[in-house]
Amino acid sequence: MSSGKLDVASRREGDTAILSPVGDIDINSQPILSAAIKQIQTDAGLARLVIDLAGVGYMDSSGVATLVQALQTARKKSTKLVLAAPQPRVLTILQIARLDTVFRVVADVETAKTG
Amino acid sequence: MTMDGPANIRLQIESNTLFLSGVRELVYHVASRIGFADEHCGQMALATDEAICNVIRHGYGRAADRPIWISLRCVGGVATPETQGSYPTTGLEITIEDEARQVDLTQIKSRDLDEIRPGGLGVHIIQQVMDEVRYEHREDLGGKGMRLTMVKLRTAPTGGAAAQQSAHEPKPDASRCSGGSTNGSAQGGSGLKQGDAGLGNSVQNSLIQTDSKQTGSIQTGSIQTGSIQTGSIQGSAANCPAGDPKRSAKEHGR
Repeated sequence: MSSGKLDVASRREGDTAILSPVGDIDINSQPILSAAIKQIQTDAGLARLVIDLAGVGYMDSSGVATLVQALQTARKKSTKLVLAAPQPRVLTILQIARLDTVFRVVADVETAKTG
Repeated sequence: MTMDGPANIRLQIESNTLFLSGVRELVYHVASRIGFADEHCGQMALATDEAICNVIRHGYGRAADRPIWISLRCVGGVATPETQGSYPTTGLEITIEDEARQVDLTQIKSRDLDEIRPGGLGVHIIQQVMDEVRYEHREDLGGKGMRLTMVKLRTAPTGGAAAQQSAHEPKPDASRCSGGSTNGSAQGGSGLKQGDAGLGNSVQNSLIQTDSKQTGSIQTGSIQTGSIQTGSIQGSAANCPAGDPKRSAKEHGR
């Protein structure tokens, strides 16, 4: 558990964008992540969005909803969305929601950039 | 299951989402201190978070200044300073109360998870991670107010009846305070058991299947085990409909 704060960093590598939220994703902080995702998904030439979850220690259903929304947008735009390096607690909630096999989930960002 | 006696901790907060992280911390650390395994502490914090979110969103319409009460009761007793190191607590009962409008208890249910769309997961998550979930109308507020009572047992149940029985009978818990993982199928553990955070491997887990009753009480039915594997996006946009704003009343318990 942590303070409940959330910071989101982003970077672009060619046609891949990497979003790195750090902190807790809950109903209070979820709009920060949602806004960052929406902004990136409007970028021209984006083929792949990697969300690096290594720095996320907690996520509730608000965060899950944000990721599902991002997935829907990615599908509409025919781009890829990959979740990288979720901590066990975050992976658990994806499993509970039965979304762990709906999303592409990989062990690290490097794999996410090519997998 | 009815558990008499006063709460060990009773907290009132305003319905402001800023306070969620503090409540999560409280639940997590109290659960840890009374002997729950780390992953179960996290699950109870998650369930509490989801329950309070539902009150704020659907009970109070996101108003940030309404009261919510959180009560924690250590089932089976709790260690005192003189008995430090013992773990008499067999379960943790978490009660969330509000003074929002009352809803039809039979309408409080999880949505169809086969539909991949945002939202509507709170009730499902609560049912999955807790051993008993009971919604009630409060009778002390003149026709308003809801009460959600959730119980997590330290001793893993293997079924609804066993779950009720074990809540009243202290049993040893090999995984307490270990912070480690055990195999869910071997231990009959409640909640999700994760053996390895590495996604290249299968992650052992167990999911509690629940049965919903008309009374609003939900108890564990059976435990199934399986492996979680990395997956890829499948299907088309047709499988991913946009969210339906009309869904919330039923799926969020409001």
